[in-house]
Parts: sequence; structure tokens; C-alpha cells
Amino acid sequence: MPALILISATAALTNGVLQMGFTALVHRKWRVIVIEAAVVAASFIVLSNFHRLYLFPFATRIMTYVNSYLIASELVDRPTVLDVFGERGVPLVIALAYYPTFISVGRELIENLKVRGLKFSPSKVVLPLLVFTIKVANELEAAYTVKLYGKFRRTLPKLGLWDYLFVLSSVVVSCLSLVILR
Amino acid sequence: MKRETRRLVVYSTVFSIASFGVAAAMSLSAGVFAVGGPVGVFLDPVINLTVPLLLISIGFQVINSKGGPLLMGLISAALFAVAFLPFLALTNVVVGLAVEGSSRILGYRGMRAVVVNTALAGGLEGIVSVLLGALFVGYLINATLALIFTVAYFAESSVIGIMSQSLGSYLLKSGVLK
Repeated sequence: MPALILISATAALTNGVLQMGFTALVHRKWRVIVIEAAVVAASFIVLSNFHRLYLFPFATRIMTYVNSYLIASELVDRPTVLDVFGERGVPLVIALAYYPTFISVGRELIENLKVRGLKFSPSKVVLPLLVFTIKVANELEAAYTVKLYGKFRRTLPKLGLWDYLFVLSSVVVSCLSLVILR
Repeated sequence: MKRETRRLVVYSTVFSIASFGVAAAMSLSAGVFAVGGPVGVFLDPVINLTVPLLLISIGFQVINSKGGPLLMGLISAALFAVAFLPFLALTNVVVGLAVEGSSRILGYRGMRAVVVNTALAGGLEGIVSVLLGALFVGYLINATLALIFTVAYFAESSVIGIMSQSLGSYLLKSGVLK
């Protein structure tokens, strides 16, 4: 997690190509990578034709953010987040679960359309997704009203110099291991 | 937090994040922000005023309470500020304030209210983002083109408003919305 934050932060300062490549290599969803490469290449061609290459880092930067979000939603252990941060980790867990849930709902939708032999049309996709969005909001509100079970209130631990060093070294190690071992 | 405030915050966060995500995906894949010339600067909002505006407008209908449009505008502004787009952030604050004012008078649901709110949100977002972009980035704008595109933004967003009204009335009839 800190590794991803560090990478995203550096992407804001440089032109972001390296960071984008690195994060893409970590999650290795080839379909996503192909789409991203197409988008970045298209924006590079268009921008260089119109002499506005100074806008190019925006594309790579956003791709880096998308990649690191994908990695986080796949690799971060949600119970651990709750364990460390307690109640304050709930929004983070929800944010991490956002994309996988929507993808699975979209898959179900398209499968149902296929099975029933219906033609693909925007209104048939938009309405169920809209209903699902409203239901998500409803359930979130209910969850916050009811409160979580168990002991989830805690103060955040204070960090010293050695903790920061440890976090930094673990960031370096995890960056290396993610690329080499996967 | 009180119950109403909590509901307001949760709903407006969900809808603004959905709208922001769709807007980012659409404008990145279309890539019209790179088109040069005098017309090019006006083209980016045209895409932003389709599905993202629809989501925002349905958000107004779903929240259905005072302070909702303003909070949605502020949350979108925060999201755009994180994405290093300061002029869009400022635009969203302006839009939130304007729609808050109009919805205090007209309400949140029903044909007239939805169309006026959406047209105000979309039209203002289009023209204010272009003007502020000109101020921040430093390009020049053609005055007649700006006038034409203002009319186009308002027309496009009122069409979106009619669509959002039909979707919202379906949601109300089917009992998903309360």
C-alpha cells in the first residue's frame, strides 16, 4: 500500500511513463493493459500533431492511478485494513471493493442479456446499473447507521524514526519482489 | 453525525464519484482535449455533458433534500482538485451553488425542476469551465463561438434533463426511490 502511494506521488512529478509501465506489469490484466496502451498511444499521436505535448503527462498519470487502484483492489487484504485502522478503515475498504463489485454486476447483466436472447441496448444496461448504484448507497447508509459489530474504535499508533525506516525498506523490497516474483 | 446529514454525505459521495469516474474514462478515451484551433477548446465539455451529467442529475433527484447539490459540487470539486484540474474544481463549486439556489425555488423532482436544474448545471459547467480554462491555461477564445457553444451546452443539457426525468420517474414508479 505505501509502495503504491509512493509510486502515484512520483507520477505527479515526472512524465509518468515508467510508473505506468511498472504498475501495469504488477497487475498483469492484459486486456486492461492493451486498452491503456491504445489510449496513451492515441493521446501521444494527437498531442504531438497539435504541438501540445506538455499535456501528455496527464494521460500517463491517470493510467498510473488506475493501475495502482486495480492492484490495491486485488492485493490489499481488507480484514487487515479493518484490523489496523478500525472504524476509519471502512471508507478505504468500500473504495477498494467498488470496482470488483461493479465488474461482477456488469458481467451478470450481460450474461442475463445473452441468456434471454435480448439485444444489447444502452437503456437495458443503464437502468439496472442505476438501480444497483442506488442500492449501494442505501446499504452504505444502513451500514453506517447500524454500526459495525465488535470493537472497532481505536487510536492510530504513533510512528518513530525506526518505523519510518522499516516502512521505507519494506516499500523497496515489495517493489522489487512484485516485479521479479510474479 | 445526524441521520439526514449522513444520508446526504453517503449519497452525494456515491453519485459524484460515479460521475467523476465516467467523465474521466470518457474524456480520456475520446481525447478531444487535444484538438487544436478555435473550436477545440469548446469540445471537451460536450462529452462531459452526456452520461456524467445524467448521473449528477439523477443524484439530485435521489438525494431530494437541501444542501445536496452544493455537497455534490464540493465533492466533485475535491476530486478534480486531486486530479490536478483546478479550473474544473472551481467550476464545480460554481455549479453546486447555482443549482442549490435554483432547487430551493423549484424543488428536486418533477419535469420542470429536473430540466431546469440539469440545464443550469450542464450549461454553467460547460461555459464556466471553458472560461476558467482560458484564464488558467492562457489560450484565447472567440466571442461568437463562445456564444454559440453556450446555447449548445444549455440545449444539450436540457435534453439530458428530459432523459434523466424519464429515468427518475421509472425509478420512482418501480419503488426503488422513496
